[in-house]
Amino acid sequence: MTLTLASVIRSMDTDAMTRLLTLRPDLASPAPRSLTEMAERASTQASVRAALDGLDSWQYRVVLAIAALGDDSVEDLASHLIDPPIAPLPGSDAEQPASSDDQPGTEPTSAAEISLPTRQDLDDAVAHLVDLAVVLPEEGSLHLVGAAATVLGPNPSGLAPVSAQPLTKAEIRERLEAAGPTVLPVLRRLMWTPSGHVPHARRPVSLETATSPIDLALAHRLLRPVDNETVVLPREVSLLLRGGRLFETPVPAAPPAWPAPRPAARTNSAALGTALEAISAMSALLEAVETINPARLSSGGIAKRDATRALTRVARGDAGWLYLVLAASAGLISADGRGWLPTTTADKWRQDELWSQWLALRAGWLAIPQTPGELSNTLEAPAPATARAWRQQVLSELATAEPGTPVDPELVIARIAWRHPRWPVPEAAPVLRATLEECQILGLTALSGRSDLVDALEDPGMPARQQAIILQSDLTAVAPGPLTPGLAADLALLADRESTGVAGVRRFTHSSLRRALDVGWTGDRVRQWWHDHSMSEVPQGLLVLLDDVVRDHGRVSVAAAGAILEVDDPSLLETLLRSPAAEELGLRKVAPTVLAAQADPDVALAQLRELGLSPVARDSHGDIFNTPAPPRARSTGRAGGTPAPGTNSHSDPKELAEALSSLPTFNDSRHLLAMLHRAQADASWIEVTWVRDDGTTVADTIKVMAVAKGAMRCVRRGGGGVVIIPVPRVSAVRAAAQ
Amino acid sequence: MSQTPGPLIVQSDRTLLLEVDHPLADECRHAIAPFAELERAPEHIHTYRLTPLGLWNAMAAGHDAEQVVDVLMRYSRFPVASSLLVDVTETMSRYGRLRIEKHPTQGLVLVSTDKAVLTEVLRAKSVRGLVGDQIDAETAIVHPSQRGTLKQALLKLGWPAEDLAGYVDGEQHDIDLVEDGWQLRPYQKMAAESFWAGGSGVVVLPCGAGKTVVGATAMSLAKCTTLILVTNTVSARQWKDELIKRTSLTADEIGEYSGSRKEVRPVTIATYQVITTKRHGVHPHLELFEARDWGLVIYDEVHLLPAPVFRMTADLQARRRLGLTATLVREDGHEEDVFSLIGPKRYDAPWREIEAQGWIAPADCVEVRVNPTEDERMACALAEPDVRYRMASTLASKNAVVRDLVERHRGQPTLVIGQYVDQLEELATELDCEIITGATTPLRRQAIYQEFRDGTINLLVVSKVANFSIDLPSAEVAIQVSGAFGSRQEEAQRLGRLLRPKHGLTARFYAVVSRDTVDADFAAHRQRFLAEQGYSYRIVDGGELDRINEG
Repeated sequence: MTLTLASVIRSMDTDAMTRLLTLRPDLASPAPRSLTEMAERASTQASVRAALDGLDSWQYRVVLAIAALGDDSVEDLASHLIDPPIAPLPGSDAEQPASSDDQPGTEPTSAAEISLPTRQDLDDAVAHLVDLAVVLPEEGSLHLVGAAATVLGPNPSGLAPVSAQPLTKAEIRERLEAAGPTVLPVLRRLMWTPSGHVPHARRPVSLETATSPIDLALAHRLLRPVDNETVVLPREVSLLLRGGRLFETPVPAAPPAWPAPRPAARTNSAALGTALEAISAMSALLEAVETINPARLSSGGIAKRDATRALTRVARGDAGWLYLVLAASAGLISADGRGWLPTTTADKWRQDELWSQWLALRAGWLAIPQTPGELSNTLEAPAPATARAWRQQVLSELATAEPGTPVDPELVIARIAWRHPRWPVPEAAPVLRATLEECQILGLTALSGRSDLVDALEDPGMPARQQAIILQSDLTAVAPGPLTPGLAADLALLADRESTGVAGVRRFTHSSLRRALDVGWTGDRVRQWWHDHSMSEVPQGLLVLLDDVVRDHGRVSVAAAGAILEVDDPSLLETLLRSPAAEELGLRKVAPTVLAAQADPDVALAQLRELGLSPVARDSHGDIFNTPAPPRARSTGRAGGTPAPGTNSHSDPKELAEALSSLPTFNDSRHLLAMLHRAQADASWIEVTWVRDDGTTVADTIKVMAVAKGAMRCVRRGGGGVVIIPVPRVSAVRAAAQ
Repeated sequence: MSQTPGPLIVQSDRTLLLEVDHPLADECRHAIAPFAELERAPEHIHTYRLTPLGLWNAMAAGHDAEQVVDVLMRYSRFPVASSLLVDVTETMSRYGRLRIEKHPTQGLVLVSTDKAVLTEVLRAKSVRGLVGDQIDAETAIVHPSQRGTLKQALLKLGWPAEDLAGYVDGEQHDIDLVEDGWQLRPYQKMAAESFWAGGSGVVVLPCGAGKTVVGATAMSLAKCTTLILVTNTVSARQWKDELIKRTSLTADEIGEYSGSRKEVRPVTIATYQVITTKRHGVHPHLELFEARDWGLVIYDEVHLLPAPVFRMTADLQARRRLGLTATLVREDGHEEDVFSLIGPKRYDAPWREIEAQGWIAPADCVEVRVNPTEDERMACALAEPDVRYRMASTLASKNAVVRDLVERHRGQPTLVIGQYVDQLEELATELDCEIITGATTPLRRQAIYQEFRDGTINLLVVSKVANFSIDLPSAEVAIQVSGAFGSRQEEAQRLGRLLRPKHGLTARFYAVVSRDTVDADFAAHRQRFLAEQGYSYRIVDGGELDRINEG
């Protein structure tokens, strides 16, 4: 053998090389440094497997045939694949075991129904395999690269390797006749899978003693033991039994045909309607996510209850989940610490033209990582690449049909199965069906037909955005079509959604108008907005509703304040407001005698004291708040003879005397009462020191008017008014200075 | 794809928005009326809804899904979503897959051309007890007594059965229309004939459109003994009067079966109340249904039909049934039972259309907002929640406004309606007029009504409690001072019935409401509903009554 993959690649011209690199992108990425490296990469099993995975059923059939036949010419191939010799052996075609491991997913179809491949199909397939560099043409014969042979397995098309001493056809016929009809069922069982399990396969048998069918087959060398457990049907016997066919069922050179298309106008119209619905559903979802702000699960999903709530106005069932995952995959919503929220992409999306909006949804759909049919609030995907591949596959398959073609899910699955014989298509059938259902929701298919939207690049006639709404006296606003983004946003603020669809019905309510006022709209602005955007006259009921809301709005207002200052004296209040402290404290007049300060009460007190005022603190109930004595540690006994401060330490006797004379001038209550009575009788001014209700000690100069029942009524000097002092509270009495 | 934009917007939530001012609006309205229910009819955009029942009604009337889809696509301004069209087709295809038919030997049978559907419903728990043995893969025996219940159960399962088993003829009785000094209106004739052709079903006509006459016409077509079920005694007497006036029936042939009288005659008029009376756990008056071999049963005001009557109707499936109503919408949501037990809609005349023909008059609604005094406001604010509404709606400030309104309409037949007797008595004294409350005897009541009708008096105060269910005489002006006038639905309808002025005049309905109180909240609901029903609705301040006639 002179031809190697490396030599073929080295001798390729640019066109062939380009084709190879296009067909096998794994060879181009990462870019190989040399042709040798590329050839090495091309001959690895992984690369060849990828190349084989890309073959359709017919191409795969051809490569299998090449593998089965060994180095053979195209003519030989054609004789096996295009005009298969039929049934030379009587009885061998009667019953065929159903087993065809080489053809996963290919539905057995009778030869009559499918168009059989032509020589042209064969040439095309071979050319493709050569372009792929899986098959190398060599002096009129075709040579399978080694890696491909390995990937395809030891018995391609169920044929055993070429026997060491092959029997001739005549010999086989002779032996079959000699063995009798009982061996035929045994041989037929192995006809499409060369080997089978047989206990004691290496048993001693002879033509004379053999009685059982297996013994007979072994004795006539129609079966050969491979080891003690396995027998194999020799290649030439198998081929003869098959009537020379390589494969049990024929494979068409083209996928099952699409049915004739119906007039596309109806399908396209319905698809466009569906697309508009998808856009409006997505808008509704974004609005709902914005208001509900769904919680984010620790796994990254969306809290189910919130999601269900958000979806109530969007869509029911699976369609709802599709919109949700679509919103996430298109980047329209995203989660952060605050939960799920619309993204800035969503803001841009809202501003887009309807057609661009839909294109974004189509692109987002292809990127959804979740498996079709298994969508839920858990926004994670077990196998993102697979899900995307299936969606992409369905979309490209739909693109092969004419617009208006009826789409039968089973046909789509059969077509995909033909296109990818090595993919697990039958297992994925439920996924593909679910994918097609998703297509219906987006408008890729409509009325079970393929629509223009599958591959449309130009706007197929989405309605223009409306600039105006219709206001009605039942307090609703009807948007007779999609609205311009600004108008839609304003309307969403002013009114609550009542009906979803291309158009929108929204209702003005107390709360919706209040919401607008809350974010800073004024009644006049709302009125003007109605006036500017209404196609009809603004209904009187609506204006009255607005007046009601405006009148109520702000009737009670709430503001934050650190402290409240009650100032009885209006002039003092004005002074305070104009003082430098006003700014520092954040003073604001809230009523004729009340100021609100942003500063905390202690700061306010300190500031006011600095201003020379003597404020009192009140607690939250309005009572005067007494600052407790600042915390102090308990004093311990002092060392040495230094007297404690506060004890009398007068060294001067005179001082001492004076100090002593200033001490209470009585020592029992009788003495005190006597003094008070005397003062009352003399009508003289005396100075009493007494403890008030709040515990503070004060000294007052008074004249006693009456003493009775443990209390005395006195008059304060200097017009201080009458005061009643409980006698037990009096701690000192002395004559007042004149 | 782009053509002249149609008048209809098909929403994904199954509502249809019809632009009234569009040149194709009328054409479109006619096209969608058979399958969509009108929900709201304010001035610019009418809202219709697609419901399974509506679609099945259309099927029963001989329309098919292709037609419905075609209408939607033809009139829709924007392309209609595929899912909705598929859903319509799928829903409509469910009707008629099951049929109840007569079998030559087995009596009644449930027949289906779709074996899978038959198997599905026969396996359902709700159906199992109602159906006998299966004769073959497509037929199962139905006991005649279960005919109605089975239809109910099948509808609940989403497979409404078409009842083709026919009817018993009933006892023959000659009834003819006597068009003496009056003429059957074209739509009344059409309604009766549609019913007769369909066998059983409901005729939807607005209040004041002459449903009694439709009933009489149906009787003249059936010519058999007839049981008429009505809401109350007064209504029963009206039916009797009408029948004597419009048909060849004499007073002797018409019996009244009510609380006071128990006559069974060839034509018997019974009230719902007497039929649903229960004594010792049984309905003693059920025998009425068996008393004669009725050929026709007429249900007046089907939307008010009480549940027990439904149960009894389930047993009457072999007799022809005619339902008369102004609306198929039931506040209790029993629309399905009407469909399966009485029958699909056989005729529906849009209210506004009959109004446009001049048979009933539009009303002009004005809400007058009274500003309560400071004291009244404080009193309302401090009132306990359970008396707050009463307090708010009976404020003395209202009386002056009511007096003013009455004065402005002096000479026109005027009714003052309210819920609270104290307030009404006060008003009656102030206005110096007659008052009817629950305490007024029927005799006195009839006399006052008669005087009002004759024009001897043209101002009357009536309490809602006394007159809730009784046909008020027609008036040109109604002033409601307190209370809601029945449910919202009824309020709008009764308004139509109450205000039936002579041709060319517009009736006036005033609702006097205390501003900024719970009373005003109730008024907001009323405003919405009346506006939805297409009434013009204005709000006027109590202090600016001079502006009352500014449109």
